Formats: sequence, C-alpha cells, structure tokens
Amino acid sequence: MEFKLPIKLDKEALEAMGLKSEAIWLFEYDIPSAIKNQHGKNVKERISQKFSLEQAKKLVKLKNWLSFQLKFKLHATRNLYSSWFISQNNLELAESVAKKLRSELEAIGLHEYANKVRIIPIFTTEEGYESFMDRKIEFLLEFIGEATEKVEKGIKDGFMSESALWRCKKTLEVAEAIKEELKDHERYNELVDSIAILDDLINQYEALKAEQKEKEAKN
Amino acid sequence: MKTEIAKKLEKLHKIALIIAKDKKLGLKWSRSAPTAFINYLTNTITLTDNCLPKGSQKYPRFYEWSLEALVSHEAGHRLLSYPFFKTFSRWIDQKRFKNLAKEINNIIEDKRVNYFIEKRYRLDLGKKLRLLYEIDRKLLEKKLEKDKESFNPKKLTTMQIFLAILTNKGLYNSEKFKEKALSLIPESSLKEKFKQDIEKALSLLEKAKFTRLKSELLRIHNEIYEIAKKWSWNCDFIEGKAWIPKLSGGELEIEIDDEVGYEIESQIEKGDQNQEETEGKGKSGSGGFGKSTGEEIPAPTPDFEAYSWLVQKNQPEIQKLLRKLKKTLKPITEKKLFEKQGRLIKPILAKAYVKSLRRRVKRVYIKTIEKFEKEKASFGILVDFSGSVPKNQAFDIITILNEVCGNWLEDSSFSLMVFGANYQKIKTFFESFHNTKARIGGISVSSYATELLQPLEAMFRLFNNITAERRRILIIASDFYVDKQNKCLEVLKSMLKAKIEVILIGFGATGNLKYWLETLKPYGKIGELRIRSPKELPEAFVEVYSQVTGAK
Repeated sequence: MEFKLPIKLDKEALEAMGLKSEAIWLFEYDIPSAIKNQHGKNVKERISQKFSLEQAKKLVKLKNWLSFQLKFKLHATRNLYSSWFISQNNLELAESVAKKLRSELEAIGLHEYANKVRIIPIFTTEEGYESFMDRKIEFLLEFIGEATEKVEKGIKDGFMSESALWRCKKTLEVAEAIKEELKDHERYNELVDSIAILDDLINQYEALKAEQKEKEAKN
Repeated sequence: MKTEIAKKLEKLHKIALIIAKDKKLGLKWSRSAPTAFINYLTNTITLTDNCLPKGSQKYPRFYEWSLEALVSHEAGHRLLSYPFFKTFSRWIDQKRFKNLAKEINNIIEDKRVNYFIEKRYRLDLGKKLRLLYEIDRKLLEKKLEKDKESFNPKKLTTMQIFLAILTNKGLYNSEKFKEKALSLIPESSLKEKFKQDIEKALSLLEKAKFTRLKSELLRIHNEIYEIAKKWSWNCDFIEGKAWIPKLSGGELEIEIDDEVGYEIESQIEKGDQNQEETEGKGKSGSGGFGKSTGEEIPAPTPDFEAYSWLVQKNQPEIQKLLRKLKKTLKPITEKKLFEKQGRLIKPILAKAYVKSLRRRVKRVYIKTIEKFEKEKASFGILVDFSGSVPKNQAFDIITILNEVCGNWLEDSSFSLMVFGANYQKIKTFFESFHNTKARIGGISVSSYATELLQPLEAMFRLFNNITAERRRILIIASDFYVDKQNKCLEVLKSMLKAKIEVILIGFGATGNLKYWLETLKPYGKIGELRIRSPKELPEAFVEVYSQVTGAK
C-alpha cells in the first residue's frame, strides 16, 4: 500500500508562505490509564472504576506492546505523551500497528478510543520544524541515557537480563538509524558521543560476560 | 619559534577542539583566575593552575595530566551545558536565592560533564580527570584530619555543610567527608531530617548524570534547590565555600605532601605500564618479542605529515578507484538554502531588504548543486600489519581504502582497524573521516603475531549495531596466515550467515587464500582478489566489488 497525503500540496507555494515543505508525520492515540498512580495501594485497588479487571489488564498489556512497537519497530521518537514522530519511510508499518491497535481496542469495547488512533501529517514553519527537531534529539538523548544507565548497572552487578541487553542494543541501532536526520542540530555531536559511550559500555559488558563464561568453563 | 608554553597551550587547545567539536572555541591562560572556567558569551576557556593542589608543579607528569583534565572538563561544558545555558540562566534569575541556585547548577553540570568525559574518553582523558579528582579527594580527607580548628560547627553554617557534602560526596565521592560533616550537627530530630535531605539530593545528583532532557534536568534542579532552601534559613548562600576544593570553585587550599606525592608517582607509573602492556612490548628496535595478546590498544596518535605523504604517493590509485566506483553511483541535484551565492530566496526578500538597511546581508541565496549520491552500504575494513606482510604495501592499501571510502561513502558508513599481535581502531562508524584519517600515519600495532580473531569479533559487534536493511561489507586485507585460523573462519562463517558480504584482499605471500575462499564460499557472498602491488588494487577491487554486490 502506498501512503499518500490526502491532498496534493504545492511545494513552492508552501515555501512562499514561510512553511516547511516537508511533512512531519505523527502517530497519535489516546489510551486511557486503567491503573491510577496512587501510592500505598495494591494494584486491584488502583484500577479505575470505569473499567473491568479484564479491560484493565488488556489496556496495560496494550500500552506496553504499543510502546515497544513505537520505540523499537517503528523507530518513532516521542513528541508528547501520546504523540510520536514517525518517519515517512515507516508509514506502512505504522498503519499496520494502528490497525492492530484499533482492532484490539474495539475487541474490549473501547470504540471511542479506537477512533482516536490516527496517523497525521503536519506542516509547520521553519521555527516549528526546528522545535520538533529539538524534541526529537532530546528524546533520543534521553533514550540513550536510559540504556546507558541500565548497562552501567549491568556492569556493576555483573549481570543483566537478555531482554534488557537486547533493548539496549536495539536503542543503539535506533539512535544510529535516526541520527543522520539531525545532522544540523546543535546537539548532534553530543548525540554522536552518547552513542559511542553506549556502544563502548555494551562492548564492556559483553567482554565481562565472555570472561565470566571462560572462567566458568575452566572451573 | 614557539615557546614551550605556547606549544603546551596549542596541545591543550587541540584537546578542547576534539571534545567540544567547535572550531571557534578559544583557549587562554590566566595567572590570576582562581579556577578554570568557560565563558559561553566569548566562547573561550580560561585555563589556570591556581585551582590545582599546591605543589603540583613538583610532579611534572601529574601537572600536565591535570591541565589536560581541566581543559577536557571545560570543553565538556561547551558540548553538554552550553545548549542549556540560556534556560538555566533564566532559571537562576527566577529564583529568590540566586547564589544558591547558581551553586546547585554548577554542581549538577560538573557531575554530568565529569561522567561524560570519564566514559567517552575512558582510556585517556577520562583516566586523567579521575586521577585529579581522586588526588583532590585524598588531600581533602587529609586536611579534614589535620585542620580540626576550621572544621568546626561554630564556623560553618548548615548551608555550607549541605553544599560541601553535595560537592565532596557527589563529585569527589568522599564518604569520609560526608560522615564527618554530618557529625558536626548536634543530635536532634532536625539532624535526621538533614540526613534524609542530603541523601535525597545526592541520589538526584546521581540520576542527573544520565539525564539529557531539559525538562527533567530542570525538575532535578528545582528539587535540589527546594531541599537546600530549607537549610538556608531564609538567607542566600553568601558565606563562602570554605570546605569545597578550589577545583570546584571553592576556597579550600590543599597541598600535596610526600605521602600523596608518592601515590601520584605510583599511579602515573601504573598508568604508563598499562599503556605499555596494551601497546604490546617490543616495538621495533626495543628488542625482545612481545606477547601476542590480540587486545585492543588505544587509537594511534595522528601524524598528519606522514599521512599526507602517503596520500600523495598513492594519489593516482585513489583517483582511479574513485572514478571507477563513482560510475556505479547516481548523480543527484540538491538545493541548498542560505548560501552566499546563487539566486535569491524570494520569500525572505522583504525581510532581507529591511535587514540590509542596517547591516550587510549575506546568505540569502538558494543554490542548486549537483553531486553523486553516496553509496548506501556499511564497510568494515581490517588490514594486516603483522611481520609477515610487506609493511609499505599495508600502508599503501590502507591509505587508498581510507581515502576512497572517505570520499565515496558517508562518514558513518565505514570503520577501519589494523591488526598484528594486538589491534587498533583507526575509525569506528561513529567517528568522522576528517578527524581520524591522520591516525594512519601513527599506526603502532605490534608486528610479532597475526591475531585476527579479536578485531574480527570487534568488527562483528560493530556490524551488529547496523540495521540489516543496509548492505554490510567486510574487507580483509592480509596474507591470511593468521593465528587461531579455524576460530577466525568460524566467525567469518557466522558473519556470512548474518548476510554480511566479504571481500578478501590478498597481498604478500597469499598461498593460503584459496583455502579460505573454498571454506567460506558455501556460507554466503564472498569474493577475493590478489595483488602484487597496490597499483593493481583499483581494477581488481572494482571487479570483485561488482561481482559480490551485483553493482554495475
């Protein structure tokens, strides 16, 4: 399926109006919080009155699944809490994720929320575009920061789960794939150095694991 | 002729430029400044030795390392703190206790920068920075034992104690200072509260080192400020920083005594020994055979002169290969905005005209440029520098491949390593070609063995981080008489199975190459070429490259 803009826009006319001719694509949704953030109460007590236990469980799973798909499959970067930037090259994949999300929400009877899942193009001014890019690079740096913290802890403890390590490696891959888009940003060099730190830490952790294995084999 | 000091400053300036990646960053020396600092408005680092412990000059290596550590710290601020400079200046202005807010901002930013430098340059500048802080910590703790008179609750306010703990534990990791400082506060319920607050502030500071999000950093700033404010008793922090080392902008004078001096010497000696071990003993002329470790040693020191000579020598081959490879690429046109020449950008004409009444307006043109689309593939290149291959040919081959890749591919599309008894990374996928190319002139791997396994595994790891959508190509230039041959072949099989295409370049005595090719052929796309001289490289390489990748 070829993804097309709903209307054809004149690039030169847009530029004449001071607008950026490239569209920024957003993946937006509104999934309600089934479990409230209340300290001192157990999970069952924190479930919102609006939902049944089944619905709440499904919603939690769905949120985790979506976050995984957005971060690691679509290489999306967060704009707002429920709004993510996606690359134009990944639109087809994004549409399939949106489709699945809609059907899952409908399956548990949340039709109104299913209607709120959408992929939209945004046209903005040069300044607006720059501020979107700021959000993008900040998200990437934070994303790398989280992975760095995890690997650092893994090195300190001498252990981290396979899935956590996989996610950290994948973070590196995502950052590597997106970084070129941000080449003109003032924090680009910081991003490149942060990627190098994460890569180095992952290598250190893997070397540590290999050493541990070697020792175990000797014993 | 340049004086010794000018030469040293030039070296320090280079370090600053490498870290900050800002060509306009300046460096100057000050005899009077109390501590080193960076001025974002003039984009200049001011360096001084006034903040180093007294007596540092008696230990020239330590003194030199410390200056390098200081400059790397300040350049780190240019890279990490500068983007937030306006935000935090505004944040400080909005606060009631501006001095306190400024102190907190300094501590958090120092923590972030130190962590960054220590990790990013962990084998060199990071080590030096750590040593400097470690020595300052030791001297601080010694002073704590001796100078009981000024470390007295009657002379220190709670705010001074709070900030000193935050600095000395948070930046210098001095547990001893924290304990002693807490013991200054009389036992009461307030002391418990103080303890809890300091722990919370320290854990926030610890969290800050991983944080890059402006909003999250502001939250941390605010939380620490609110905690600290409680202990200021409605008075802004103006009492001075009696127990904070000069290195962090404090007033604490510390002096190196013989005991710490001995420690400094042994630490530096240890550092040098580690360096020698990793570089491999017995470089040419030093006598004795080095141990074949296969370990990675630090990247070579760039030698521009030697490299430009190599490029000049191999210029015909480089141009020939580039011409041939560019035929496989599509020419594209690209519009560049805000250029100095070209045709006017119509939408900004009115604005540009108004501005031109006040000053000269440049960069208002749009330019269409034609260029070749860069090849979308990632190359990993391994070149043999062991004793069994002709070294001059190895230098020629690596120069040709480096120059060609640098001009033909994007910066992030190729990585270069050399191997012998140990190995060196000349360029990783993350580094830029222009920053790394001259390292070839300074290659210093030991030539007493041919340990391909470790660099091969390292390259495999680098390839794993590249998305499989990109074509990945491994090039090995060697005589293929290597140690642990079977293990190397196993790794190569795995690489071929992972859809990495392999090109083997044989030079020197290449009798073993046939065996490698036959063993590996069933596992994926592989090609080989043998050259007697680097002059044959362009023709042969293009032919094999087309065969392996299917490019016309």
